[in-house]
Amino acid sequence: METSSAAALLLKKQLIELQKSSTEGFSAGLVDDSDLFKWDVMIIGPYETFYEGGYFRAILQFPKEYPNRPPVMKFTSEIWHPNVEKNGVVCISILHEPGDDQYGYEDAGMRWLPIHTIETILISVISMLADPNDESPANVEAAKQFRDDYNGEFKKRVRACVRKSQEF
Amino acid sequence: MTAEADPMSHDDNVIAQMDQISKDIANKSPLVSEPEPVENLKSEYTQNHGFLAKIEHLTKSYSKIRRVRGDGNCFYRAYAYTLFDACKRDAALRDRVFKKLDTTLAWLVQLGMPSFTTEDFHDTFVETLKNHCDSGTYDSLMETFNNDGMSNYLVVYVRLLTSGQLQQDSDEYLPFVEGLYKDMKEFCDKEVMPVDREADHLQIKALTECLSFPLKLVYVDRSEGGPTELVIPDGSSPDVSLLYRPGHYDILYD
Repeated sequence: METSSAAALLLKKQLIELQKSSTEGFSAGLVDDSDLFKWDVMIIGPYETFYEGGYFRAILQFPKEYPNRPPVMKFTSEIWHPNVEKNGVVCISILHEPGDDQYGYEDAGMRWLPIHTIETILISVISMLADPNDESPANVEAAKQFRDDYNGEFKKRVRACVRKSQEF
Repeated sequence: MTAEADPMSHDDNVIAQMDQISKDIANKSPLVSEPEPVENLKSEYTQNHGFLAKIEHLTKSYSKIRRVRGDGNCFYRAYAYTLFDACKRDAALRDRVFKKLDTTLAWLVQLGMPSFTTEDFHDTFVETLKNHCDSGTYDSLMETFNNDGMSNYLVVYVRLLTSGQLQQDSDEYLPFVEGLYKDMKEFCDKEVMPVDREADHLQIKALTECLSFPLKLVYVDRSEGGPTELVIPDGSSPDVSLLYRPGHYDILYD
């Protein structure tokens, strides 16, 4: 379809680019070689955080209006984090649709822009893991633990996910 | 199977619903329409005498209006459309615009735009404009600008050029937004680059300066008197006119 051909081309170029250079902290490829709009990514838990040692897998699903609209990112590995919904959907500002205020961000941070790449998205997600935003949580329970019981229940839940993620 | 149990199905539903909404809008109004008589605007304002009087004035100087879809991109899309159209007809303008465009990729990357995607938008814009100037027709231009993917690609590149100019000349522009944004980069990230952000005077001035392709804005609102005309940048002599009604831009023809 013509509408998605520019999008498909841009995704294909990124695939080639990501395959030829090594990246720090993540890997990314297609779920199925025939579908450029569905990516399988793996994020390595950042060092010196509770997520260290984890290999978290996720699906990046691009809409056919990409790059005008952002992809949805959803962890398929279990992950406990204030900005990840319990069903795995990642809620960070750069993945928000333009004009989408469903999470009540006052200071919206940087929203989705067509110039974002898979690499900039994943770098933002890694930085989200290292530095959760408990002001606008997607997982209220995790946010509450993050604030009130950081080294107790929060750490325990996160480390359990890390162990699970290593079992492949 | 419930939506909870199948994690992707909820998103698929949301995506499908959004697609349907966009399709509904697309069916109602093309991204760039065929021109129609300026008189047609009167039917939209039968209850509003301030507007009606201005549209009456407008019909004396302009015969046709080309509507552009009100999706937050209308200024950028209208501007790009008129630029393509004008470059095809005006060789001097074409040379000037291509000369400028050749410098813009390195310039934008130097200003901190991500090279990978910027290059993609730049190459598409230049190639599409070149194709239009070489062998394009009115119909192919309409097709290009009404193809969602392509049309939006062109819009992204003019947004990038706008951001570049604003950041390059931030000494000139920052005083207008100071206090609201910490710097010009933040202004651009929030008010220029997002796909739904409509252009205001600052963005229009920056873009017309970047491409040295000026325009005349004709304001129609509720105020008394005839339409207000504004040439951007000051002192230039534009060949194209855009109609501005609060929150929306369309293209006007003599």
